Amino acid sequence: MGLSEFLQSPELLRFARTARPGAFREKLVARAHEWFSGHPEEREALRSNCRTLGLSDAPAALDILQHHLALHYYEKLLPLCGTPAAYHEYMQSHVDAEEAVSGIRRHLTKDKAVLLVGSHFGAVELIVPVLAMHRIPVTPVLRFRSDEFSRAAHDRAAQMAASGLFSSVNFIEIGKPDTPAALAMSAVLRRREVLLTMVDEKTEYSTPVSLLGRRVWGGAGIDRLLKFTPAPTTVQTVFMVRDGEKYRLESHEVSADAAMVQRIFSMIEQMVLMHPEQWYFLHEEIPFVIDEPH
Amino acid sequence: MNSAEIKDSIHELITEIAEDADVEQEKITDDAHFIKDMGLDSMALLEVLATMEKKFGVTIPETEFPNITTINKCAATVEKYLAQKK
Repeated sequence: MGLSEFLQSPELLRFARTARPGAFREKLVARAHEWFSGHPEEREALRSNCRTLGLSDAPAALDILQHHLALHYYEKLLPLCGTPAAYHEYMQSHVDAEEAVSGIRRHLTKDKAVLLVGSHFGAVELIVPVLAMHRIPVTPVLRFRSDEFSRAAHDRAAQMAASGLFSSVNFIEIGKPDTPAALAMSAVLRRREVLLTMVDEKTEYSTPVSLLGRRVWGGAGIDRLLKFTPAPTTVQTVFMVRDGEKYRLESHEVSADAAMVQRIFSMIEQMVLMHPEQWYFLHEEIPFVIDEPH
Repeated sequence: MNSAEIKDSIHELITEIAEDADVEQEKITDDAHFIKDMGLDSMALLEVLATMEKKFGVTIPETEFPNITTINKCAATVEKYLAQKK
């Protein structure tokens, strides 16, 4: 059983439904630490990724990384705690997104679409609800592990929209047979809305880019998406940075030219160097292009 | 441009895209489904859409995207929006 499944056990999910966020966070972090102590190979994988990328693999650094991995799941399951109103209140008091939201809104009012490019960094799970809370018409592109998770996410989004405190969110699910995801993504941009997609997973359309002195597959085809989408589009990176128990949404505009994907990865690199503990991709299989440093 | 010319032009476009995707020539027929029969992916469909719009000078609305599935349906869609331009 992987960490994700372990932390989404029926018992923990039941607890989430009745707990206050603080209590849930404490319990989930404790369970994650319990899981890590029973899976030394996972710590070894983290150590190996850190060493390969020139990041600290000291025991204290790995402890912090494991803690932040637990926080990732806390943020993912947080909407289950209490009502949409309680979640809304939590987001309002914990997330500073004003500047990023204003920037996005400014482009939308100029009749431009906004392509938000994210990575496996920080509190990525909070980006969509925060934008929905600010009435930004956002469509995330994602892949659910199972139909069950897909249904649960749709139900949750519908409940949040029904509360009147969040705008409705449509998902574009990739990896489903016969689902023309690229057409759906292009349609969002043609409507001059906001599309959020991850760029650090390898897809058939990824291109080699540099990251921390290594070559990795990146971009996930956003360059082709823009090439074939006749809509004025602003490209922005987004990072939901953890700052103690609070969060800050950072967004940076990127020129949509031939060097766009590399520029995005240079920004990801900067963020990883500033907050290595928040890059939960270190827990995954990083899509290296080649094994030797270039 | 008449119906036959539109279809020929789209056939040519699909053949080019299919060649890049290593689709066997015999799989390319007017009624073959781009995904189910030819094995193209959604990015290829987006390229088909964008290229048709550019080539024929039409804007195909989102409601027609589900018709980007076969050469025949693409041709009918293009024809419809070319007629609206007149």
